[in-house]
Amino acid sequence: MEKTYVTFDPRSKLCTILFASFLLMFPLPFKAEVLFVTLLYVLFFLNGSLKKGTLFYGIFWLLVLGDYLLFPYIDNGVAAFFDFLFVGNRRMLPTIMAAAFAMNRTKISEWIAALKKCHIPFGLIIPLTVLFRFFPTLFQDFRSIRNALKYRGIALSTAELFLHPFQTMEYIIVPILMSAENTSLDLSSAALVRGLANPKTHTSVYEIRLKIQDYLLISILILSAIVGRLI
Amino acid sequence: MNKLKIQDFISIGIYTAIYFLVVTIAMVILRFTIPAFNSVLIPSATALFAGIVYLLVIHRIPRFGAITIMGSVMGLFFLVSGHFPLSFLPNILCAVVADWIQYHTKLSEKARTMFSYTVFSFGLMGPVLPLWFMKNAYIDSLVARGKDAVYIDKVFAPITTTTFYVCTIAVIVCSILGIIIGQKIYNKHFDKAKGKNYGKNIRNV
Repeated sequence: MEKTYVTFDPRSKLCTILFASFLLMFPLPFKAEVLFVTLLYVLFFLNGSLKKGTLFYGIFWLLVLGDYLLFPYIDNGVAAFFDFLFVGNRRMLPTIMAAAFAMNRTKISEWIAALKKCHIPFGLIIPLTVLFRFFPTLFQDFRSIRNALKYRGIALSTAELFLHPFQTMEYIIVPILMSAENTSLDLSSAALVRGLANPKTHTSVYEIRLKIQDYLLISILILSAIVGRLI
Repeated sequence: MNKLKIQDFISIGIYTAIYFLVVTIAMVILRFTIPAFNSVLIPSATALFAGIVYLLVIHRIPRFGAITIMGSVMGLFFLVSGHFPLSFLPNILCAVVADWIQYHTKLSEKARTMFSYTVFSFGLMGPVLPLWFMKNAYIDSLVARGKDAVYIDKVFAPITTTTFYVCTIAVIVCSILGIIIGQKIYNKHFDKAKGKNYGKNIRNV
């Protein structure tokens, strides 16, 4: 049975990412940070991925705990280094969490429809679409090239790939670039047939519209930013 | 000046994907070889290997704007996938400057390519920036719990300046090496194999 969950507009998800990265630049007090991470946890819960959210939340509290335990021994250099890693990674966690929330249950086509709504120039959206769509092909190519290399007796084990990085690079990047020429030709003809060059506004299957939960989320973010600065 | 066509946009997307693959491979290799602070070396490692991709973009799409779009797409992709949301700005700025150097300066062709590639490589400095914020956060948390500031300054001052210089010099050296390697690979595989008019034929379909 399909679980029910609250969906969010990609644009409000983008707002969450932006807020998280502002948090990285202009640090809020520790209490506000805990509140924001908890908010992200709630968002994960609403979005129907309780397990992923719990994992991130657990990592956050583990990092806090590690910092708390190490702090008395800070005068020693090694402990200071590890403490630095704990605190630093705790600061990085909200951005990673926000991005994971943004990618969670959002289709690439939805992202593209949302970006179109934001009036991102057409010349940027096409390459971005191709970038997303091309990745599966790229990994497939990578695997076939790897197999072909093994068949020819070049770099039989993964360790050998690391030992001769320049040779590896030449043997992997050059074939991919060769096939990329053909792929770009194929893709452009397919795209032209599907009317990409049509100058009129394109329609989308996905209805991109801000709903109540999106307005709620954005206003909570703005409010918490203001309150967080005031505390 | 001739404008970019749909085919050009699609080719840019594909070359960006390949560039991104190089970044990913560099990241994975560094993660396995250097345990901490490996993100400092990502720009230089990528610069060392991605010269051929950059050369192909310049040769196949020789118009102003291609490099700018490539950098902006990288920035947008980083933003959406959230790896380093802050890397949006350096990517675009460096790409625009690289584009300008490539098509609007009167240097010799070799020097121009080398110079613009070096500038373009600096766009990947985005992943390094969080390290500075990490450091600031750490200092803040130490101050908040009553360590004195002089001690902290003494410990951290050499770390940042040295890493910054090491990073900058490594990027410059690696991108010059990278473009030389790229030129060699280009001459070996792409110049003779397909003939010089191959790229032009594609665009006139």
